Amino acid sequence: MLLLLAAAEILAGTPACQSLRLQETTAGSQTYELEEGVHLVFERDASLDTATDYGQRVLLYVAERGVFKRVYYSAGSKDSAAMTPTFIGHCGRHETLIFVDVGAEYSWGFRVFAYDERKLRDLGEIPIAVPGDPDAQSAIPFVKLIPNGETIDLTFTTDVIKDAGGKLPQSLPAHDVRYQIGAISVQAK
Amino acid sequence: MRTLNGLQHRGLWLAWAAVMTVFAPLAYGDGFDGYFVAHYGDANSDGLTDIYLRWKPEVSIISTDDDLIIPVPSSRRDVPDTLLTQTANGGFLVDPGSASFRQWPTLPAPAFVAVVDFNLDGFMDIGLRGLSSLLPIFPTSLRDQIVYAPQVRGQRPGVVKAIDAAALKFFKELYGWVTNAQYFAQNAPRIPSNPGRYESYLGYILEPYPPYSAAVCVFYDTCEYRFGNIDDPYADPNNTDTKPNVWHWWGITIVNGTSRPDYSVFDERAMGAAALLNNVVLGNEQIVPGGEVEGRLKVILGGVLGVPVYGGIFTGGTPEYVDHDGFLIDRYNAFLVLSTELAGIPGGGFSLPYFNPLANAYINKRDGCTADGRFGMVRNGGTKGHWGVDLGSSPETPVVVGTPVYAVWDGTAAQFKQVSKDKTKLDGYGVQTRLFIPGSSRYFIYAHLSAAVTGRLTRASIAGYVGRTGNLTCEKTHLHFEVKDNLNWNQRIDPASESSVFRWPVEP
Repeated sequence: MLLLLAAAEILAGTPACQSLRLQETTAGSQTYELEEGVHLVFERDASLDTATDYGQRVLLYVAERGVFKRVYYSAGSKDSAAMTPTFIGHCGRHETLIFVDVGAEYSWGFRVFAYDERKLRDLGEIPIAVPGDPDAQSAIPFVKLIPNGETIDLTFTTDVIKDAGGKLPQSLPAHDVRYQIGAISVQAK
Repeated sequence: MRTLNGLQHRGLWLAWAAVMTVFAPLAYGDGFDGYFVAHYGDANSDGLTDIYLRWKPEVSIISTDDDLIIPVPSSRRDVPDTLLTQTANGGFLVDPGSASFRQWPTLPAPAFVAVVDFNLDGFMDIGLRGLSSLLPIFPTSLRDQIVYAPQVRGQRPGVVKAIDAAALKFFKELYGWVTNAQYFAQNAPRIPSNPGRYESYLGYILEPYPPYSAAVCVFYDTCEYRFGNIDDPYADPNNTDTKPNVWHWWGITIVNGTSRPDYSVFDERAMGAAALLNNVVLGNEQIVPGGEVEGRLKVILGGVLGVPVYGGIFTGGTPEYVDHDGFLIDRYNAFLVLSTELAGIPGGGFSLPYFNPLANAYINKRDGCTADGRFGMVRNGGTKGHWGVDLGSSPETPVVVGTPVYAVWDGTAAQFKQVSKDKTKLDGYGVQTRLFIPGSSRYFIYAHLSAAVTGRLTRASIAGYVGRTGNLTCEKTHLHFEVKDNLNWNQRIDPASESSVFRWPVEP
């Protein structure tokens, strides 16, 4: 049976944006129930792969007359070894924000998805991680979200690494890094 | 380094005592150990550099943020500090006097001290390696030296021998045999008049290995009937059948012009090889530990290596070496080290201080769900980096969960687990062994393991087991191996730049 535990944690003292703890529905697969009849799945479907768009994806399945149909799949995460989601509920105008950490042994940053009205939208990627032992780790636990009108300001509570895992990773103080989550995209400010 | 308060100190000693309680019944402290340090200077003012082997015991327990140093009781030392004086002919003699520590510098890299049981007598010896690279301290002609441990506690070593060409070849053969199941088929000299047959052979059985329980047939053409499971190289010259046995040839045998070798002429080196192995059949004689034939073989092997050989026949079964700290030394891998060290393997051998962390390793290539396992900017079309290597094993025998991985060097191993923020699962590197090297800022990460190992490790001993923990989904099972530096955590170190041992081929 599926569980949806809300308000398990409040991020950075911002009551409006609440971390949701969604339990995976089936051992061995990464499937989450966003609401009744809506499943979010993280997996690789080789039939969708092309030379430049491949790897694990976020897939959305919606039940129609008891049968789940795939209604959305994201761009592939290429060589990322994992997609690790964090769910944020009731944040700004979005029903649910989904931060998905990507990387291998170390984080390369995270992708941002918005789930609204049984639809999923890829808002973009934030190439930010934080220093870890022995290498960059997910910055998602250090995200601070503040709804600001139609958008959400995204900052970090600790110093970060930009372009983590890339050619020119940069260590930056927390206050130098700011993103804005809008209705259809996430952008650096 | 931080200072221990009384409670911490007492706690650590209690933990230490607990470890020793577990291992002490197995008998420890045979011969040299990893605490011996080589210093150099001219003790007798003859213009030749001498070496002083000094026991400098300390154990570093390395935590993530600090080091704790614990002294080892001097009662744990087996071999006294020893002065080795260099002779004019490129050898060393053990100074019989009571050596006292001289304020000499320690032997600099790339020379180093290797603790290996070279003569497989159960007492750890010391190899003085890479001396010839230290011009002008030592002449370039100086060979590596083996200082054989005494077999009586507290005595000074009696013999120092150079590793000569015969010993090199001997161990190179052993290495080939142990590491390559096709070695016999690929290397055995054929009888020209009788293709498919061999001039000579020395048959070994390794079943199972590791750990091995070896048997051997020495120049005895009916030995295949003596052991029902022996794979006959005459009948199966390419070793293509399903039997797991491995055959090997060694030495020079006179072919008498007939279709069969003349086994009446024994190659002494082959005989010597037999002394390393268990359940030896020589002619019709079964060789058992302590038996007369074993004694004769020891003498012969001693002649081969130029050293006394004591108790050179393994009795099979579990690992039998235990170091001063009570840690078992895997016998099979100690044997591999021995042969690797001495063999001068192409791309390895003398110039190589490191041991291969995974047997038969290949770097995974990009294939389906498996990402490019090479080091560097190889991910996401060259936009993301991979700062280690993903090692699978031979394409014919893919690595599986539970496959052992090996310490690349003597060191202190610590287990790490990378867990998700909600603590519900492992992510990132998963279960890791991190191997810290005494006196070096380098350390090594073995990631995605199913089980890690902690404590002092001897090079080539088991450092953990391959697993699928951490960030893995549908990729092929592999060992993620990474070289790091404690002084510069951001440094990306290509393992291949550290040693040719780490220049693995990419799987075809």
